[in-house]
Amino acid sequence: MLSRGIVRLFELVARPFRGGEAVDREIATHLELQIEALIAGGMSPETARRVALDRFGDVASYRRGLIRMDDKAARARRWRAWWGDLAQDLGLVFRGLRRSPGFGIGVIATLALGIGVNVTMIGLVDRLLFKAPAHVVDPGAVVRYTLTQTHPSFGSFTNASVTFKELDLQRRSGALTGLAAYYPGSVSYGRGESARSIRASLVTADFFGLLGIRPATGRFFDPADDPIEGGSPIAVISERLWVREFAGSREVVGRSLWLGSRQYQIVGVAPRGFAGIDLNAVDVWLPLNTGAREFLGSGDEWRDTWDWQWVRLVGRLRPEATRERASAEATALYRAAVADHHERKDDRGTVTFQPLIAGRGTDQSQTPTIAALLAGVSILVLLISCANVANLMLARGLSRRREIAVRVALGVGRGRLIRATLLESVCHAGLASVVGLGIAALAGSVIRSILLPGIDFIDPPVDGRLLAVAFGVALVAGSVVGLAPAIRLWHLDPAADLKAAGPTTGDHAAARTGLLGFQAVLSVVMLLCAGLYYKSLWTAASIDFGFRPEGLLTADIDLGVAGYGREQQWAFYDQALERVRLVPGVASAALTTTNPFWTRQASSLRLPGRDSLPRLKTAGPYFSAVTPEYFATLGLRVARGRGFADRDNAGAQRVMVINETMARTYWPGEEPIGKCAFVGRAATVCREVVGVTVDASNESLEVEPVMGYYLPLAQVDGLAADRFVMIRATDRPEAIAGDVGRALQTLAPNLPVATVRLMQDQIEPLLRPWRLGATLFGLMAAIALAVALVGLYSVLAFQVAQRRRELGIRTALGAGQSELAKMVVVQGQRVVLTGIAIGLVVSLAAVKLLVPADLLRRLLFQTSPFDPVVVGAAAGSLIVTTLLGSLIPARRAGRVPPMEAIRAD
Amino acid sequence: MRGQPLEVLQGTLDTLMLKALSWGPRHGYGVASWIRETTTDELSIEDGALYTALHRMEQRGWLAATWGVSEHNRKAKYYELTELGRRELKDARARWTRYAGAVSAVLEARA
Repeated sequence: MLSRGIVRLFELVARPFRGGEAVDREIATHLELQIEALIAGGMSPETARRVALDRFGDVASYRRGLIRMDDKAARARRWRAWWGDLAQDLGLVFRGLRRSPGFGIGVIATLALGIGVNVTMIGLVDRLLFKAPAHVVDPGAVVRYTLTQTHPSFGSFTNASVTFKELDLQRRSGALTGLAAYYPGSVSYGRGESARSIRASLVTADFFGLLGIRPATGRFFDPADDPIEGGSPIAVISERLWVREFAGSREVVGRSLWLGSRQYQIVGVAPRGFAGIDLNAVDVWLPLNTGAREFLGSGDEWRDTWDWQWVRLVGRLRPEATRERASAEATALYRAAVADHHERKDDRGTVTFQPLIAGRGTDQSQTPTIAALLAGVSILVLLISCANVANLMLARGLSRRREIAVRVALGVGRGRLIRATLLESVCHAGLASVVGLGIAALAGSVIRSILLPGIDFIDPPVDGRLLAVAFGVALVAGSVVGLAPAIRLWHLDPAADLKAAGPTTGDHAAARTGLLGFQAVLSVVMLLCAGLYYKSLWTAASIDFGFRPEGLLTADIDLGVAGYGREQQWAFYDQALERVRLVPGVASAALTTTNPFWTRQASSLRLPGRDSLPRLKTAGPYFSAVTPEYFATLGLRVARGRGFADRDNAGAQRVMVINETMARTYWPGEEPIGKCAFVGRAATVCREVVGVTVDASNESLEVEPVMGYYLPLAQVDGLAADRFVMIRATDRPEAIAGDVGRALQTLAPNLPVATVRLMQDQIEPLLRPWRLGATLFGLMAAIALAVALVGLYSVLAFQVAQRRRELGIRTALGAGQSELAKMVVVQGQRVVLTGIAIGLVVSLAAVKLLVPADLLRRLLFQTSPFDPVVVGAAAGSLIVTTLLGSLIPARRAGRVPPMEAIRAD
Repeated sequence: MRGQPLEVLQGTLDTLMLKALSWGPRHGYGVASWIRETTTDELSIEDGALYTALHRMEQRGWLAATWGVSEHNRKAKYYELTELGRRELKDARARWTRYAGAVSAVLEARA
């Protein structure tokens, strides 16, 4: 019934018109009249018939021609009428908006929120997961090389950074037309105090060619530019840098820029929008061999050994090759190459070629996964908005029953009415999509700068694709929203509607209550998500690091690029430590060879009298060589024994401090203090353990125990090259960061810029995925709650208004105010409680049945999806919101004056 | 003497039919028989062609059509001149007079 009606609604032009009947009638009449006339003139019927046909000509052919003509004309007429009706209906829509702007604004605002949230999320996910880097030719054929290695004691891990040896090895693969390598890093740009760090990428000469990128001006690298030894310093810069630093000048080619300790001559500029193939935008590209000598050291370890995992490889598949085939071939090549290499014997190593785009997410961050989840859930916000708007439209449809009945009685077709309703919804949604795009543009840039500062977005937050998405969503949303009132119109009974504007009939109330319940179901899902992410963020942020990161600063200067030798560097840092201690606001300072959450280091370690040592999943033990003030500066508690003192110098007994995990792993149930260990492959002296610290996290938020130990910096014998200054501020660390940097800079002229970071900033990126989830889910849940509040209020208020008469009679019969108010509140709660129950059961069951446990672990930080506090809070906040929404209607219900209500109709 | 019936000149058929309708609404047969009587069968026009012309002129807006009941109680489609059709008849008539005059002038000219 309905489906036939819908078909008729959209029939427009397709139906063959029954013009044939009319033409047949016309011809028949003609022939009959002619024959009668001829018979009257004295002809025999047969002759008359023959003559009449003869005079007419070829009847069949004329008939066909006439029908064709009439059909064409009728079609044209229909089109004109259709467009005319459309224009008229559009006029009605806008007149309606003018007449009751409140309703229109409500509908448009609700939909705009839903559309805005969706477009924002889709934009985010598009950038993180779907969009290929700009300018790459045929990105589907470009693949990333990843290597999965399996270790007997701590499982398998996949790495995109691999050894340089694999580049030469895999270039032999028959499935690829080429394989290029790049190394994403950073370099100081400029000289002295104005210098700053920019992202630089070392690339092989074929990198740009393999991707199919063409220079905006100048040229890219060719193999002759990048000999293994003795290449000249040249660079390709990004369009962004070109515009910012050289004002987009055509003469940029041939000019130089300071990178690290050298000047590089610019040979070309990358096209606008190309900033490498990772999420972090690159500003300068250098030839790999030349750059590696500069940044990685003059030796050959980085290209000759299986130890240095540093480059990333991208290849292009041959047209006939598949990723599976290429991966299988690469795996075979890899296993054969390492088979006779004792340090890397790895017969289970597996190479997988990942697609270029999906591979963007391989930087171990949960951000892309969480963004995808957010985008999926944002559809719920849109559904909630749609349900709400449908509810509003139903309510208005009821109040306009008489008007509609009059139009039907006046002969306006039902199809036309339904079409007008749908048109109105689509118009509302269209306007909402414009507002929603505005919201998305705003929200997009805020999210980008605040929540995802590590990712450089090159394109604007709203582009053509998103525009198309927004209008597509609006069209769908508009149709969905218009459906409920349209169905109502279909079952319209104009006679009944003309007679009375009495109480609503049962099925409308049921539809509205159903929509409300649906909203409650979705809201509870949103609230659950938000709650789980707040819990995750809270858990992650309140992790005990073992030391106090707040108030801590770290500083270092890239002295290698300034041409300092190792001894000179160490001397510089000794000086730097003394200098930094004099900066006002510095409570204490220490040197260390590793920087928590930034670098870590391990060395070979033996225990006297033991052949092998137990291992942990987190490998290690890792060490730091530190000055005596280190433990106090970090706030790292020495639980037993002692820390270091000035007397632990080069001439004294070798000592070490270990953490609790190491003590427990190597000397279970024994007193570790007084035990000793050989640290370093060539160590001949056994170091005495003098203290045990609590465990300190220094790598990630995961709480797998990690073995660690500390050595006095004066006793490391050249084991560790890097130095970092750790500084504890007496007050706010950000206030003294500038002073610390300047203090370091004054130690020598023409230094590269000192990097001074807050420890909190080093930790922050680890919290970011959870912060992203918590903030955005919180926002969506707030929107869902607000929309649900409005929806519930409108439904209850409407019902109270519809039942004024009944309520008045009840009051007259002695029902108390509170009794009637309670009735309304209970009515609202019943719907919402049912919705909550369904929502909780469905979402928890879905999590249990559909989401694999390891995905769940990645999506939530040490938080169970069944966390009772979160579930309770989600349900509770919705119940409270419902109470708020029913408050005013409930009061109103209790105050209906009995006489007036009865008289009202 | 009567020879073969004359072929109707292109474009004149419309004019003849507009004229046929200038006294009021007629159905197709009425138009056909009026033309046949008036021209005393001198013109060879298939009745089918008349209907094609009627429909064409209806779509051009020169004629308006309504269904009515004919003399012997038959459903018939009646055609009627619209304002546009009346103007067209006037123009066509003027064109024809000028054309016929010019042709006659040439044919009756003496050296």
